[in-house]
Amino acid sequence: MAEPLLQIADLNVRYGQSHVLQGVNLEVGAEPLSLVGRNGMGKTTLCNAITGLVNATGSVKLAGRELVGLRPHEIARLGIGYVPQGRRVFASLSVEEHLRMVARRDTTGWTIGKVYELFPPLAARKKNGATQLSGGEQQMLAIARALLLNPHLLVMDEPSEGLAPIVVEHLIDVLRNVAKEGVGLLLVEQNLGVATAVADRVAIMVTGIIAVETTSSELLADEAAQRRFLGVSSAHTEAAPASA
Amino acid sequence: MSKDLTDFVTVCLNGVTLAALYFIVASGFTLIFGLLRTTNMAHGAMYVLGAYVGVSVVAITGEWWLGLLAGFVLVSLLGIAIHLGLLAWMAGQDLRQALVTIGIAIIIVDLSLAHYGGVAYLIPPPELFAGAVSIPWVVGGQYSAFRLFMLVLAAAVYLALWLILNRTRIGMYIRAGIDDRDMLSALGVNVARVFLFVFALGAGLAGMSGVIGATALSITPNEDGWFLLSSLVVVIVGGMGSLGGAAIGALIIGLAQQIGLFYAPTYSIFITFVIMAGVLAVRPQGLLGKPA
Repeated sequence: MAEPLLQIADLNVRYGQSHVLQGVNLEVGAEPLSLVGRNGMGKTTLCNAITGLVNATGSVKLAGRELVGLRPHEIARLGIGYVPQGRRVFASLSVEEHLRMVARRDTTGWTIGKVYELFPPLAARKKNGATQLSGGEQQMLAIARALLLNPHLLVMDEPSEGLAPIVVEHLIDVLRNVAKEGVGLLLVEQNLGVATAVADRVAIMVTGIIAVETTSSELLADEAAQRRFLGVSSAHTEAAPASA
Repeated sequence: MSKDLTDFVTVCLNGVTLAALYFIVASGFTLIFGLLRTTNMAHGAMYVLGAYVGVSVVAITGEWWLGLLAGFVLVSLLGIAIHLGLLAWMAGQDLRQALVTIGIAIIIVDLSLAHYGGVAYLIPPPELFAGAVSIPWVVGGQYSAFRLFMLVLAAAVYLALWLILNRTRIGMYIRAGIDDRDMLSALGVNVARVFLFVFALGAGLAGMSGVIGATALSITPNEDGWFLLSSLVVVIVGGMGSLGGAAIGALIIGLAQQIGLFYAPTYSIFITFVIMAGVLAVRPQGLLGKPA
């Protein structure tokens, strides 16, 4: 049997006294997976543990290869692209430099030309400084530079945060297209609308563990679960998030 | 021209040429601090070591340029050894790194004192710049050719660093790393290697500026404190991690020191620190620095 793309087993992270991840078990296969949960449940810490930015114990395997203990750049080169919360584009670099910095010489897979095709607004603003872009454009840039690593898996932390509703609609299309290109997707979202639109499978995180694994349609139909795990109802999340 | 005016022009020229030296010293310091967040307390000692390397190499070979090169290369190699052997093991622990580099500074300075003694050495300038240049509006109508040449050297260092930062791949990594180190590593860049490159470059610049300083001024072992302090002030005024900031900071501090020294010698050092305190109060990130 083939190894799952990403297999997380008994993953623990402690910050001093606080035990943030308390034995996370999760599998991501070829299909996108959304991870939802309230603030402070450990979603971002899980992203940082997968990408090697915080120390963790336990196991994270990418196609069977153990990642725990590797340094962030080694994990990135093995095929995990990180799109962090808040986008974290480099203020000192232009759009084009962001892409050239990551792009490799070989022309198989993602190239700068190909990401410009996916995100035409970036092509139009390639000489601009990254912080001159709008929030939506910065998000495109954060995704584009991660794609240039030719990742097997994209780990995305709250990509819809702070984007206008119309931009969020576009983002959903982009993420679906990325998934269609064969890139695995672990999507951390507060916005249940986005989470369920992009992925059929949804995991819910509660205080450092994966409490429930379900499907998008089941979660959308189960308002009691939404209130219990997310403190929201779907009617709530469909409403427009504030524009940044 | 009146004497007051020639005095003023001469003082300003002294200030600008001193600023050239400060800039070369501080450029390495600001890059190291901006990227590694390491306050290299041995930066002044690296200046001193570079100066003595220059003294010896020029004494043996008679070639000033060879002394300059040796100052850069040897201190750069020492920087690599310090970084790999000590600092890389305590990445992110600012206080430990500061203490370790203070220790290194003491060792370098004491070894210099043991070997060269407490007397001042002066490196003879390259023959081309050994004399004076006629400038009608300075005191005496003549000005040191080497001090003017320091302006060219500073401009060359600025240009070289600008090209590295803006036109090379490692330069992109350095700028990105100054903005957000973790994100850079998550994009597949081995940040530790970029750190090593920058530390070696910064140390080399300190060593090279020691050779220039020992030619223009002179060198004694206890000068490390002064150049460390000047670098700190220049970088605080200009903005951490900014090349242009180091240039502007150096110009302000160089001029302030020389003008203060001539017109109000008692308050010269005071003026320097008033400027620093003023910048910290009004613009804590420095004139060209980005808010933290």
